[in-house]
Amino acid sequence: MKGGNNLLYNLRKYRVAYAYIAPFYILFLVFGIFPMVAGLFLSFFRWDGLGSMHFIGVENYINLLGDALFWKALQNTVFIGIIAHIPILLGGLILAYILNSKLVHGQNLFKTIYFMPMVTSSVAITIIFANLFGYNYGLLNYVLSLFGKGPVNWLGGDGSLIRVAVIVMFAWKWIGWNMVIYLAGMQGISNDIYEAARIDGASHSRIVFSIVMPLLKPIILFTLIQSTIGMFNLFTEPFVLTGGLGGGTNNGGLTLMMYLFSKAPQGGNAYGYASAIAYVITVMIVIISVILNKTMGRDKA
Amino acid sequence: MKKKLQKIVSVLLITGMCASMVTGCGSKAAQATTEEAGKEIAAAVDADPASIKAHIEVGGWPSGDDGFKAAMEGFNAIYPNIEVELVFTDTTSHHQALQTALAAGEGAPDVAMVEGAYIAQYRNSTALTDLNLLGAQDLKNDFGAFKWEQAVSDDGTRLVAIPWDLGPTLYYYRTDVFEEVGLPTDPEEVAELMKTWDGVLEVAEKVSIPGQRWFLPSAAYPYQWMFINRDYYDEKLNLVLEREGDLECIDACLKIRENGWDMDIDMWSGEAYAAYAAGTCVSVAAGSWFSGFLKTDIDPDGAGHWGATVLPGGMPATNWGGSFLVIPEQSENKEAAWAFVKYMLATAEGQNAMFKAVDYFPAYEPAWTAAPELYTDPDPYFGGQSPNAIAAKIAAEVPTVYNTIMDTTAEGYIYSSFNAGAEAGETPEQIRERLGSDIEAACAELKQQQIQTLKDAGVWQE
Repeated sequence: MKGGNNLLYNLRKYRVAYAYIAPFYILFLVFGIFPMVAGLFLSFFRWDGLGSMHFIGVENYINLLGDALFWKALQNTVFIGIIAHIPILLGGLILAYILNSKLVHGQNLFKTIYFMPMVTSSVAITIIFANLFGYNYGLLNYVLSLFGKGPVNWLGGDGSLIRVAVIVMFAWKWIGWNMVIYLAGMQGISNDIYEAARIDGASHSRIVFSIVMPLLKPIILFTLIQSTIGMFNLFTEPFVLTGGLGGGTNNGGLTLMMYLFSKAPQGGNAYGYASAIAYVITVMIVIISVILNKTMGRDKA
Repeated sequence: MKKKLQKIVSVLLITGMCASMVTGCGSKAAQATTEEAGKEIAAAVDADPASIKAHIEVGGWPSGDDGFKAAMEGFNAIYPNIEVELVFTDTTSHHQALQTALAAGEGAPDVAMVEGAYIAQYRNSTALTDLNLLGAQDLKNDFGAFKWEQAVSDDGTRLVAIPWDLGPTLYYYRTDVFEEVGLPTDPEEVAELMKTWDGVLEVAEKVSIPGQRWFLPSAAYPYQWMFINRDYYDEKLNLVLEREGDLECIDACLKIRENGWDMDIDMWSGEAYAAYAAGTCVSVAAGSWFSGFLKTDIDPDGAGHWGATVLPGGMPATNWGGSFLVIPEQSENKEAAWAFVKYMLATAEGQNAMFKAVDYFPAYEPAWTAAPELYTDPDPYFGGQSPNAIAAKIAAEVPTVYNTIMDTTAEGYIYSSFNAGAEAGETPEQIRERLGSDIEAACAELKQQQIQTLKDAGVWQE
């Protein structure tokens, strides 16, 4: 009772303040919290989106764990993510270092150019890349033919090369984003440290690995979490490249998000099952974020 | 104090949310049209068209809107007081928005387009008006049975949509290339020549120049044409892949692949589109709506070097897609909505006006005889041939099939399973087997969903 009175009292006392912040909370409630809770709720049902809902407990989750395509999609997604992170991390760091150390002019121009892929429509990018990786008329195969190599069916064949195209696109997109964040971080590192290192005769690579990287740890952690989420959300690039929800030959380009979409709402209308997939992806993102935080974030504070 | 307040606020928020979810689901079942109400609507539409005053929203995807615009004048001449607002977006977004609006019980347009591949998801839905109550059963004989049956609920009682257009499957080929290599270009002669797989391979060999010109976008497609009615599952939901002549078909496909007579790419890719226009990909098959694609999008300057005929390899008549119109139960203007659907889809005037504008081949058969010239006149784009006349003949032969929600997923696998099998050097039997297991794996959950839907409809027997 007392709690209730206090609540009412507080609501009245701070009503103006609450009214001011209300728009955010109402929108967040409607578009943020509600879908999250509704999705969890749905994942315990079998529902076609129109008819009646049938409670089936954890059956969706059990079926999911026994679904070979789910594991294939997970394997593809993680493989693409891990390989792509090598150029994303190293490329981002090196580019940021080059720009920061004033080795080149036109810092802002480069920043803008490298950041561009992040804000360009994925569909437009993918159409360009599909042409680069084309089998009969692709630019890449043309270059190969100059060296006397036969055309490679990047997007067909046995499906294993689709991932190459996806990795290139994924890395290309995220390098610029990481670079901009790292650059901001590097500018926060005192110039004295760089100067001291240089006076001591440290090479550029030595400075990057022994000074910049340790000092940037929290920032690297942030970008890692961001691009990990990006990895799990990977959809448009493989979808447009392979022209369908199966991910091409032998499901070579099938990612988790495509797998989700193939159950609902695009390939079918198994909304309960699709919600279960969404929750499994969420749990994986949370686990990976926690691990990253634990391993990298500890000595930061 | 503050902690406590936070706790209480969050409890309240969650309770409120659950409550709104429960009520949201509860209010979903919109007021179903009763038999009397249906009769009243039907009578009003027929008796006194001018008395219907309403503003209706019609939703769909391009180029349906251009079709409606072309027929709007005729519609408003009969129904002067119905104002139509077109709400159009791309196909995928349209279906997602429609699905959401139907589930929510509000926000759907008064009339909505539904694509053929999606109709199996809607046929049992009570969120759509039973058009039989509005007198649609009287129109049944004017439409091809195979298309009409797709919109009938599984228990056979309700009709949720009226068919708009058909997609009789045609084989499109470059007449200029055929002529260059000494092959006939007349549709009948081409059909005769390619009736057997040996004939198909002969043509493939003649038109192809390895690395420069190809017979097809992918050797997988002739196998896909066998299933283009989307009849993968029978009514017991058993996957049925055996077809008459299917192994011979796969065998021919493999030979096309081995000899490098196909481009080995997706027929809808930018690369394939460029090759159709350049004449380096010599043939492709699709629903007759592909004529419109060629004219407006793929090869606008290609008049005179395309031909179209029936599918090769002695394959039966098939239909590739085509859309429907539905009236959501939540519509408050059912009279005007029904008047619109009836005029657009079930009058020769409406259908033919749209056919002329956007090449949507009418599912309404009386339209074919009402303006025969539209269907038989030589088409300058096709060098004076008439693909529509062939399409009309095919349409009359398409069998009635059983469609399910698994169809689109199954269809996607023919291309990739064939490619995987060909890459692994498999025999036709092995490729068919591989396709079967790939489809079963990908459709496992959708099949459970379909069984549940059939159970809810009371027509599923274990």
